[in-house]
Amino acid sequence: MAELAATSSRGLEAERSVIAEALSRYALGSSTAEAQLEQSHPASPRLYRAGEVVVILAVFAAAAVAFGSEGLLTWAQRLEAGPLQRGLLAALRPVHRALDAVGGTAPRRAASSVLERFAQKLGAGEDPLFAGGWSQGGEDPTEPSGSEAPKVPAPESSAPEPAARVEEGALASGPAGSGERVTLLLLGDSMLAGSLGSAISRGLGHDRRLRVVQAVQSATGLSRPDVFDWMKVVPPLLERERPRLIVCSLGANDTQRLPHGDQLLEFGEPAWRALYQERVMTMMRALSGSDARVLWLGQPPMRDPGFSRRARGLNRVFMSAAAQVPRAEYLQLDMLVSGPDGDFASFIPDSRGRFVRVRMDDGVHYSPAGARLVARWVVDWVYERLPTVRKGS
Amino acid sequence: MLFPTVEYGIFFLCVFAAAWGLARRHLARKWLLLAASYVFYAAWDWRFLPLLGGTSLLGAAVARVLQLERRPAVRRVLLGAGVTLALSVLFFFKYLGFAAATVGGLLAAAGSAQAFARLPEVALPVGVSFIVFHVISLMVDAYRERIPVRVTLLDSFLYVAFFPQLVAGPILRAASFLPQLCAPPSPAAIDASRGLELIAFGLAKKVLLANLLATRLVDPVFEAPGMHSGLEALLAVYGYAAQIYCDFSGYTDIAIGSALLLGYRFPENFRAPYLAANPREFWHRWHISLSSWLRDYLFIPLGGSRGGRGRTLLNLAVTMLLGGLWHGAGWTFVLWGALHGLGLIAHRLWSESALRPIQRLRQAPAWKALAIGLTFHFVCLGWVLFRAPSLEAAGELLASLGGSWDGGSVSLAVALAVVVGVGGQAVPLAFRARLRVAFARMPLAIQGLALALAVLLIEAAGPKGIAPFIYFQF
Repeated sequence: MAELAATSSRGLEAERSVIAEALSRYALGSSTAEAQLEQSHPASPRLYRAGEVVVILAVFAAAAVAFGSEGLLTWAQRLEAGPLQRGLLAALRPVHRALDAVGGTAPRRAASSVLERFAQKLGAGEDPLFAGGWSQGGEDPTEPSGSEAPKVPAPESSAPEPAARVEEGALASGPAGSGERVTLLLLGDSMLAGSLGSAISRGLGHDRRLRVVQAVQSATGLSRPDVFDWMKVVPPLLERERPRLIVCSLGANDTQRLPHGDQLLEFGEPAWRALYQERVMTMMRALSGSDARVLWLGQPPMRDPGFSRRARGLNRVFMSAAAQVPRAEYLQLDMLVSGPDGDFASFIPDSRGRFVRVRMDDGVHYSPAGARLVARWVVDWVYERLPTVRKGS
Repeated sequence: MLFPTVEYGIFFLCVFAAAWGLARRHLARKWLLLAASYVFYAAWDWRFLPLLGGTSLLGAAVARVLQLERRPAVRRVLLGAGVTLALSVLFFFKYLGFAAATVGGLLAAAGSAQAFARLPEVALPVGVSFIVFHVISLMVDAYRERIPVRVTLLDSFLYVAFFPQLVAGPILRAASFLPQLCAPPSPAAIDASRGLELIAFGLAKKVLLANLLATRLVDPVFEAPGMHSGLEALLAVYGYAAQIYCDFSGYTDIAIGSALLLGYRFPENFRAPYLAANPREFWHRWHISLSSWLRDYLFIPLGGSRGGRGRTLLNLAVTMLLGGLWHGAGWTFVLWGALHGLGLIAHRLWSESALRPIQRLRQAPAWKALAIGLTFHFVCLGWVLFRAPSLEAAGELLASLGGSWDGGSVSLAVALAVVVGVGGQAVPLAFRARLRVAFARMPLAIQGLALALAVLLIEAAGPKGIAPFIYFQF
């Protein structure tokens, strides 16, 4: 039970009255925390017994599973591959199938499609670059049949939002009208999506010979095609944009297990490495196509030592893959944004000795200044390769 | 574990069932909530569990001794040592890199050779600013004898780590929360309709509005301000004002709602902030638990408004400057705090002014509307600094407002989200109250179905593939 504190001494009493007085004169108001509490909780229409709330939440949970099983299945699919994910999928799949059979999934699908149509009317459809590119794995029962998938208009006919990722005057001209300009495609995850993509775009910003297109999707990589499959996104993207220069940054999300058939390959084991390298090479080949030049960005050192070690493992795979694919090159970033020993550093000194923040607080992503450092090298590469691809086009 | 995820939903349902199952065994119930809170924190980053426990232990020990010790000198020293220690934890994890970079830069500018070859690398623990502020509140409230109950180890640990507020507030006061932990919450008086309403509206704000605004408008423009037209830049500024409100208030709404369902009351954190007619009122309505914390634990100890006008204004400026820095280790945050400090000072001088024209203007009928508009734009200017990754980028964005207004367009959905995010605050509270009454009158099963419908609609309309279904970090 509550035990009341000892009575306060006179000195404290005096201090308290000073505080109360100050509170009343204080510029930011005079309400005490307790008064705030009362104010913020006006009398509710009724109070519930715990049992009643249990009924509400139980009905809620049952309805959420019954009508939202598709969403739950998608959620489970996107969890990190492992025993937990497998168990959840094994439990959810039959539930979903059974509900599907009795029409339990129809309301959500109908609502989804109505909402999607509505969103599309308002111009909030999927990103034009990913027209039809969103994909789930083949065995995914959550994906409605193709005819239900939203049809997104081609970039030039849709109202481009500021989020449209085609930059440098390409909004008006569209891919067909890009004339003699060479298209540079920036493709990757959030390592590229934030500061780096815009730093590269800006580094090349006013060059009329170039047109920069960004295709970025955070939280993606090559290890989980069941969640997001770049190999399905890339061919239509290349078909539409016809880039001659491609900068790719993938891998930061790939330091995880690889689901492969019924197996789960642990990160770094030989089978993992073989399969992952095969995927990287397939991706590099797809990107380089018949005559495009590909620059594959390595991973910088990370603050977490384990992550950093795994990132170095990824870099070895990228390097060896790039060596085997024609027109693919690998850019080692270890020494560009790192401390004196090539290890992780949030701040590094610039030429005048002033410390500049090169990485974000998360110890992973680039800060704007760090992105500019990396972008300088990428821009150099673009200008070095530009003459060769122009000749070829 | 973020709130708008399936993980949190499952976690909360389990905790809810177990907590009310232990309604009659109060001690066990608190242990359960403490364990759940540590599981919740471990899901973010288990490596910082000792930090959470260590700072809680510091707060509990100091607060308990302060309750027992009567000698004023000893109490002062003890409080000073405790607060200093807590602040050093915050400084070490949050500001060491920034401070060292600043010092190194100053030394380099002063002509000395490279001061440091490298700077310390410290990972930022999730919610460390909130944890430290709770610990400080615990110690200071004990010192001020504001805690009417005995401080125990378990209660202190639970107060600091209680999962609904653990990573993003609202900041609880030891004086008002520890008493709540003393008596078991009544299983017959749960304010569920309000809790569920807060959770549903919080989800909608966060998952629908904030996500849409961030991905479709704000992030692209703030990442590359030079590449967007003036119109887009302006919309992005308004959009960020809407986004940060929806994001933050949505998150704390879910926190307050979760706590209510478990039988605890948290303080209100947002009260239609963009309807404020001056900077002072804004801070009465925005992140209230922080602004009142800064008032009681920083402004007043600095002397508050007791030392004459000049001293009061200085105290205001210092409070807001440090308040700015609390939000992040960077010059953009310092400047943001300075801007708000100046705003508060200007408003104070303005409202104290005896000049006739000013007094007449203040009485003009249209003044209130004009003042709300002015305050909103002042706050928006601050948000540019708050959101921009660097001062340079903030300048660029502001410059692009004055640039060409040709080209670029924004979809109706995004424009609508901006309008709803900002204008939704003008919806009278009575509307929400009526909704709650209607909800509470329905049969229990229908209430559950209505809740499911709301959550499923939010999920179906929410962004696919982004939160709430993120599968990895980046």
